[in-house]
Amino acid sequence: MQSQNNFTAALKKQGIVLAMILVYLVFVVISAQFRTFNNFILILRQAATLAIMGAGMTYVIIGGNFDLSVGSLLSLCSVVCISLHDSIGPVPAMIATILVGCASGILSGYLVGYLKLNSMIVTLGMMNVLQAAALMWTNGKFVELRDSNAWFTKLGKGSIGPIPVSTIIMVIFVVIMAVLLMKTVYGHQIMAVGGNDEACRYSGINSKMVVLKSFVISGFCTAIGAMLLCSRGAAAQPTLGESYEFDVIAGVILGGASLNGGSGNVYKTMVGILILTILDNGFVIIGLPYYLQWAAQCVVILIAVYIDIRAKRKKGA
Amino acid sequence: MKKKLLAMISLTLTASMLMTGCIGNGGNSSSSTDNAAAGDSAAGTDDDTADDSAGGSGDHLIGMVVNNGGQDPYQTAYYNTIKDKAKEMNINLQLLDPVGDATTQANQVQDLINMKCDAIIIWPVNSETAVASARAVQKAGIPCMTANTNVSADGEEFIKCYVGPSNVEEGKQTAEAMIEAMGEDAKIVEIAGPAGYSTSLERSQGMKEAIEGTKIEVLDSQTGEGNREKCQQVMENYLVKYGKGEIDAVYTFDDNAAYGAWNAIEAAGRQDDVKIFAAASGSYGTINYVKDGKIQATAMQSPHFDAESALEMAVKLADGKEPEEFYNYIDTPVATPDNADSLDLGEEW
Amino acid sequence: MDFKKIKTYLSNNTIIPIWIVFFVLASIIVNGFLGVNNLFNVFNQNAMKGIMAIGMTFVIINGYFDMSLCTAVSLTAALACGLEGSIGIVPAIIAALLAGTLVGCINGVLVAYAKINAFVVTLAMMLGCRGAAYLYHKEQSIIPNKTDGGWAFIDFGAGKIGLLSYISIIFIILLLIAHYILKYTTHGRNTYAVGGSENSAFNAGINTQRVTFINFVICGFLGGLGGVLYASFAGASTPTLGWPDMHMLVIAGVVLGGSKLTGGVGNIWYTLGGVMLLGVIDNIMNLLNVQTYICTMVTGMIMIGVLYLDKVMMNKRTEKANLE
Repeated sequence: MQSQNNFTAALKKQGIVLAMILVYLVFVVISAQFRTFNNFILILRQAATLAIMGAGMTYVIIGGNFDLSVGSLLSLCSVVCISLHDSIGPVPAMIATILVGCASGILSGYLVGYLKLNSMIVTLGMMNVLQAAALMWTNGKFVELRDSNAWFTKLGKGSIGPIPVSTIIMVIFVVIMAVLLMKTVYGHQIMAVGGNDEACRYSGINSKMVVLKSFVISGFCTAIGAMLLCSRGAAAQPTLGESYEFDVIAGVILGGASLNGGSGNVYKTMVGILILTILDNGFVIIGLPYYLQWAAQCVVILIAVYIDIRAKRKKGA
Repeated sequence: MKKKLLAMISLTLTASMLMTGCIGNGGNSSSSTDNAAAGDSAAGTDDDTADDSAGGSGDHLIGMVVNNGGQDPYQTAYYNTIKDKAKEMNINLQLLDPVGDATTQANQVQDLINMKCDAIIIWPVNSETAVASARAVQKAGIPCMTANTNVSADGEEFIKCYVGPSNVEEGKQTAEAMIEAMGEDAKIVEIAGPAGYSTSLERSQGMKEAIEGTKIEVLDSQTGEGNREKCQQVMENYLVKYGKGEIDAVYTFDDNAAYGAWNAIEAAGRQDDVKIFAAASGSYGTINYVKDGKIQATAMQSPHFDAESALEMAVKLADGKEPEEFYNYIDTPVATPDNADSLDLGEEW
Repeated sequence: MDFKKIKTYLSNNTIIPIWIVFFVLASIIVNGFLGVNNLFNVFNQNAMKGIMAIGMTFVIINGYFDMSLCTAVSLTAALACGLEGSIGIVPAIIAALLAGTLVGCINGVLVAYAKINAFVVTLAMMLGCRGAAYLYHKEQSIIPNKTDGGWAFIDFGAGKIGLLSYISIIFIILLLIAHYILKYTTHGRNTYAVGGSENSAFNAGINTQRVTFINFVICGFLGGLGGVLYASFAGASTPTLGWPDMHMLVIAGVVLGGSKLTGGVGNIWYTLGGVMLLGVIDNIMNLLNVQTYICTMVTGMIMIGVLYLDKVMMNKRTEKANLE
């Protein structure tokens, strides 16, 4: 009896992973083209940027905040990266991109962490500011690399054996971010701050700095995600990140993070993102028109979250 | 302390507002147009309009509502061209941009009517919703024309003319080039533009008209949402769904989508297998893609030509003249690898 | 004149001084702002957003928010326009309002009773409505011009009494009704209670789930009304109406006005101020003929600036309260 309870308990805890496997299997059964190895690799490639951004966003959400500016930041980092690549070289361009991401994170983090402004509205404002910055940087034009086969593009396009470079980077990143969250002092701090801000202040945690760091992490991850994304096409348009923020946040939520803060898991976020990517890919392959895709996503998200909540509640009770 | 200060400031300002209101109530029409010679220059400075009014005291006030002026290279080039041309012709051009929102455009047209323009150009965000705006302009006694995108048929009675490309023709011409290249029996997939976007729908319509009667089949159609990466993703998914030999070509909404499709096709190594046809291209650089054989055919649409023709017609209307033709289509030649070198596209845009 | 009382009042209702500052600056700097025509224009143009913001205010004071607004408007606009030909304009409008209410019901049930997070629920509903709206539109826009009633509908949107449009009049009436509900009815008081602390409200015997449910329904209904009015104003409905961020602008309007996103604080006049503030900023940009992306950047900075100002004033208020 006891072991069976433990087993079902463990299963329920991993509800979202089961959901992902279930969704994947459904498509595998329906469509022959879906079940190829190539498609599996394709899904991983398509999920890379979102997964990395999701890892960063998990920190922000655990801290009890939102970062709606990541979509525009993605656009800005991409155009900066591509346009600087030809003028100052790929490695300096990448460093510049990371600096842009971190700078945005510092600014958002300061406004939310130190000034304690509402994160939703602040990052909404930042979203506008960053998008405008991206458009101004390129004067409304698209930017392209002169050489569409430069080594930089290997990040997005290349593979080592059958595995794409972007997947390897994604996995490494997710693992690092997860470990950071679970094992380091900072990880515990952000969980604490998200869970109960008052208590933290009494225990001496500098919650302001903790929140600020979470935004910087999100910005940093977005910059990396941008590099992977724009290296795929060797180009960037200033609006490329539009509405990415909702996909990222949806992934984090599917991954079970509590929107009130205090709990979350980077691995599960990645699973959430993978579910969304599988749905995206699968729907096109089975030929579902785009508007039905949205309706289907709606239902899937609701079901997934409902299952997760029921599981949590049973566990808690 | 701060609170006290703020309260004092508020009271002082309120008082001065009341005074300004009493003195300066000159209404809202022509005075605003002294700053009218539109927005920033393309040189990337952040100067406010007030510094930029070279064409200050033109004898025509022309109002225009563009669409997404800074978001897309075509629209940006159009926006800059028309601004420069207005300065050149010494016209007061009031350029407003609803950034893709139909109701904002309706509001902005109202603002232009209030400013008592001599002529109003509308580049509709949406052909249907622009009908109400066109009606309002006509009611106000101001000549109205549409540019680049036309109002729907119901609205044509309210405008004097249309100047711009024929999206349907472009779609048709490119599709005809496709039929010539691929023969009458082929299987294609489509990457459409942003969902619900009139231009995308018209080009698609033109394509469907051209392939009617042939055995060409459109196996699938998805939107790339005007985003190159998304188009690449859609094409990648298509390539998984349709193996080698199952599709012969992809028909895209524009050149940006074609670039995305090309990236996907190249990555999959199926360049010989799947050909790309882009309904229309607004980027000058696309001609190189055509020369290299990456894109097989596309109608080249010049934003310079588009913008200049529109402004010239507007001036004509503002002078009280009637247009000779209702539909003034600009030239959009189809470029193929065969004729790409010899095509005369005018100055680079 | 009791300066102290005025000062306290102004710092408690920060939207007022902020508004005054903007208004005055705009009047001085921007030619053409202060004209009667222009000011009424701004009010008329933002009345529709205002109506939706009224609904959103109920939900925000309740402690939640509704992201499905942006696509629900497209759906209701489509129904109003599309059904006009077959069943007449008035039944079509009723159908559209019912659809909006239904969306609100679904939101309410899932958030209040199933206790699923509001962000997720309304995000999912946003996708669902988007799909439904596109499906119904079939990618085209719909014009309700098949019957005389349809034309009357289009004229209504453009119609005015004096300088105030019909839509603005509806807005003002709804403002008054909403004010009454929030301030003088049990439901209104309960809303504030639940928003302030759901646990305490529950312990006090309030049926928190029903209160939340009702507020989501109100928001859905008013969102639907907003969609119908948009269709009337534009003379057509498009599948992209409201996308991508109308809900964010409406929420921003409510929050900038002074209602707290965490709930329990706010009133309908704050919302009026917030929505009109955003409208005024837009109008200033138009009159100054500012290039679009500068406009976007400035709007973003202003949003942050207003929040900051509000926070500063609240800090001063709390400090003063602590000292006394």
